Amino acid sequence: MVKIVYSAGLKCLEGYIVQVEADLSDGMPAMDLVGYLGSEVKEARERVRTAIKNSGYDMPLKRITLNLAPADIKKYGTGFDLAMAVGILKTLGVIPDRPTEDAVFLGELNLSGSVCPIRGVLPLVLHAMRAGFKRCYVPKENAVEAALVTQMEILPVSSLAELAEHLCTENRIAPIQNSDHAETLEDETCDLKYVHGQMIAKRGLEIAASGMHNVILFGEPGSGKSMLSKCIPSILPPMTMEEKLEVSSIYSVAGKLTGTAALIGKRPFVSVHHTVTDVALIGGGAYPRAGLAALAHKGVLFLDEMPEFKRSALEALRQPLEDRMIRISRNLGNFSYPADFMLVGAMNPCPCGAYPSASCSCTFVQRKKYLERLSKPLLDRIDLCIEVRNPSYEELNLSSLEEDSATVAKRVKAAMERQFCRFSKPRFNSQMDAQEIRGFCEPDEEGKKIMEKAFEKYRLSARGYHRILKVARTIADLDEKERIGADHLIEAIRFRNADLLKMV
Amino acid sequence: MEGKNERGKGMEYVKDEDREYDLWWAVASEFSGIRSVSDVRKAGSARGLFFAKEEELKTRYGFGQKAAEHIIYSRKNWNYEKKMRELDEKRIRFIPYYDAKYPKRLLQTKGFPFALFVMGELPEENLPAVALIGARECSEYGRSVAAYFGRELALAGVNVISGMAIGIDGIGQQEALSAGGKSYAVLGCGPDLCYPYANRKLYERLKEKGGLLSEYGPGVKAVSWHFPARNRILAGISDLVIVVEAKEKSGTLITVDMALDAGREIMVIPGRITDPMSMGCNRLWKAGANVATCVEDVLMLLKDSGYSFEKNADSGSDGETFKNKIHLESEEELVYSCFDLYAKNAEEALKNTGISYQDRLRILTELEWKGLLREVGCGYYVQTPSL
Ligand SMILES: [Zn+2]
Repeated sequence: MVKIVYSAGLKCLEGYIVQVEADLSDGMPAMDLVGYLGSEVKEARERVRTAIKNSGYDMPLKRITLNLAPADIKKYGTGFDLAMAVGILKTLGVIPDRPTEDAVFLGELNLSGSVCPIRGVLPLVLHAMRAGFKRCYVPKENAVEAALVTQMEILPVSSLAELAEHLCTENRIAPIQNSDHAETLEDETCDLKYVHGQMIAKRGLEIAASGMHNVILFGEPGSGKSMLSKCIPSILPPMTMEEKLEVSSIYSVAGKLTGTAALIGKRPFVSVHHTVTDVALIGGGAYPRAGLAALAHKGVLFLDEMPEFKRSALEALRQPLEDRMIRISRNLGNFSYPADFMLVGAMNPCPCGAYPSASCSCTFVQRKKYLERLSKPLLDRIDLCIEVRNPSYEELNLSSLEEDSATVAKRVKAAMERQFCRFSKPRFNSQMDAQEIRGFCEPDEEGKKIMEKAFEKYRLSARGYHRILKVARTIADLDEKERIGADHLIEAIRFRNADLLKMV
Repeated sequence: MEGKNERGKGMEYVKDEDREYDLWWAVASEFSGIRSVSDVRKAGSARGLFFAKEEELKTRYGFGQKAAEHIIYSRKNWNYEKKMRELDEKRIRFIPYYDAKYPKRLLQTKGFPFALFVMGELPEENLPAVALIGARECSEYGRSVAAYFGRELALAGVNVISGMAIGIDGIGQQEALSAGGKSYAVLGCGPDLCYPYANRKLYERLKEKGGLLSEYGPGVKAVSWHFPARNRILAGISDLVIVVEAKEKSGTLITVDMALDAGREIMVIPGRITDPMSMGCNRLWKAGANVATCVEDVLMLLKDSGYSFEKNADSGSDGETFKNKIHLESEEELVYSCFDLYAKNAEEALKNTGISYQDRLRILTELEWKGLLREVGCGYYVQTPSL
C-alpha cells in the first residue's frame, strides 16, 4: 500500500508542496527514486537508507519505490530526506499509519540519522501555511526561523529516531513557541548623529531616501562616504512584518539566517566589493541562487569605488534597477528574486581623489577614462549626485548636537506617505513613468521658467529632464507642498548627476 | 628674390615647373622631423634631388641609407597630377617658402619649413599673432585663464595661434572663435586629419573661421616626433608666445625653447607656487619671461613691436580684469566674491556669508546661468572670466 507524506520545495522564493509517495513491493531489494529529481535528491537514496539503518530500524529485503510529485517541477536540495524516511518507516509499519496529512516534513538526514538544517525553511513554512497545513517538522537549527510563521505549529526535530518515537506516542516533541523577538536589531552606531558636518550630504540622502532615488556619493577618500551610506537604513521607515518576512525569506534561501536572530528586522545594507563577480552580484549558477542584489532587497546596495567595478557587473545591475527584481532564465525555466533596493554608489572624483583641488595629479585623460567607466545607461538610473567633503576641523569639533536618524526618519516617512497617498499604493517618486511625471510633476509658473532655462543651459536629455522633475517632486513632498516650486527645482538641479561625465 | 638672406643664395627656381618637384619633396621628405630648406639647398633644388643618383644622395647630400631609399622609392611612385587632384579635392593649398603667401614671420626663423600645406586661411601678415599654449592636463584655473586670454585677444583683434590640443590649446582657440576672432592651428599631421579627434568640432570651426597649417602633406598621420617640429612653426608664425600652464618638465617648455630660438617674446601666467601645473610658468618667470596677468599686458608688449590697438591697451589694471560688467545684486556679488579661479567647494566657501541654504542654491544657479561661475566638480565652482 502506498503511504503519503508531505514535504515542500522551493523555486527561488516560490514554494510548492511535494507529495512523497512510498511503496513497498516484492522483488530485488532496491530503492527507486522518481519524480524529476536533481542530483542531491537522487543521492538521498544512500543517505536515507543509512540513516534509517543507523536509527535502529532494519531495512526490508524488498523493493522500495519513492515518487516525489508533482513530476513537472525539477526538485533540488536535501530538504526532502526527512519526508522520504518517514514515508519508508510508514510502509514498514514502524510509524503507525496515522494521518499526517496536515503536516509538512522538512530536513536533511545525515548517515547517523541526525536531522541537519536546510536552506529556505522560512519561505517553505510560509508556503505550507498558505497551502493550509497545520504543522511543520523542521530541523532543530531552523526552528526559530520557522516559528516566525506564527500561524503554524513548529516541531523541532533533532533526529529521525526522535521523530519516529514522537509519531508513535504523539508527544515526544514539544512545539516551539513563536519567536517574534528573534529580530536583528538596528545597529546603534549607524546613526546620523555621529556624523559631523556634511550638511549637504545629509540633505541629499534625506531626499534620496524619501523617494527611494538611487544616488552616487562623490568625495575624496576618507571623507565618510561609506559611513554616511551605512546610515541610510536608519532614516528609512521600519519595514512592515510582511516585508521583514520577505527579506528574511531571501536570507533563509541564501543560508544567511543565524539560529538566534532569524527575523531580519532592520533594512539590509549590503556592501559590495569591486572584485565581485557578476554571478555573486546578481545571482546565478546552474540552479540560480540569489545574489547580493537580492540580499539588499528593501534596503541599500552599496557599491564602493564604483568605477572600479567590472563593466559587466555594473551593466548587469540595470535590469534589477529597472524591474526591481532579478530575472534569470535557464532552460529549466525562468527564475526571479525580488531585488527592490536603493543603489548607493560611492566614488572618488578622480583616480587620485583630489580633483578639483590643485593637488590632483591626474591627467585629463585619466580622469575622463575613470568617469567613463560608469556606463551611461546605469547613470540614467541614478537620480542624485551627492558631494561628500572632508569635514573641517571646526565641524569635527562642533559641540552642538547633530540631528539623529530618528528625526530624519520621521520626515522621510511623512514624505513617503504623501507619495503612497498620491499613487494610492506603496510607490515612490523614483518609480514614476513618463505619464505619471506629466500628471504629478507640473511645476508652478516660476518653476516652469526655471525648467525652461535649465533645459537650455544644460542641454538636458528627456531622461535628464525627467530625473530633475522626479527629484523635485520628492523635495516638494518633504516640503509638504502639492505643487513643485522654483526652489524645489533648483535644489534638484544642484543634485543632478547628468553632468558627471561632462565635468572633465 | 627680394629681401631676406635666408631666401635662396643661388636658388633660382620660382618657375612653375619646379613646383612639381617641390611638391614631391614636401610630400616625400616625411622621414625627417624638421624639414627645412637646407636639405634642398645642397642639391640646388628639389628637382636636383629628384634626379640625383643614389650614391649622390648619400655622399654629396648627406642622406643616410634609409632616407636615400625612401627618396628613391617615393620618386618612383610619384604622380604629380594625382597629388594635385588630391590637394584640390581636399581644398588644401600647397605653399612653398618662396610663395608670396608664405608667412613672413616664419621666414625669419631658423629652420623654417620648406613648405606648408594649408586649409582655410593663413594668418594675416599685418595683424598681431599670439600663440596661446599650455598643458593638456590643465587645471580649472588654467582652463579659465586660457578662455579669458583667448577671448580677450580675439576681441582686441589679435590672431590666436595654437596646436588644437586638448586642454589649454583647444580652449583658447575655442574662445577666440566664439568671440568672433580668428584662430589658426598648426598640426602635427596632415591638415586633412583631425588630431586629436576629440576636438573635431573645433577643427571644423577653424577651417571656417581661421586656418589649419602643417608642413605635412594630406594623409600623414600624427606621430610623436612631429610635435616638436610642429612647435617651431607654431612659435614661428606668432609674434609672442603665452604659456598658460605647464608642469616643470613638459612638452610646452620645448615650444618655449623653440620660440626663444626664433626670437619670440615669452609671456607666462603666474600661478600658486605649490601648484604643479604652474611650476613651469613660475620657473620661466624667474628665468626672465614676461608676466601677463591681464590681456592689456599682452597688448602692451605687442604695441612695443609696432602694432596698434583701438582698445586702450594702457589702462590695464589687474583688478579690473575679471571684474564683470553685468550688474549683480548685492547677495550675488557676495557669493561671486567668495570664489576665484581655483576650484572651491561651495559649502565651505559660503559658510560665513550667513546666506541660507536655499538662497545659496538659487544664487549659485543664477551665477552659473549668467556664465559667471562654473561647476567643475560635484559642489565645486570656479569663477569664469566675464566678457
Ligand atoms: Zn586626481
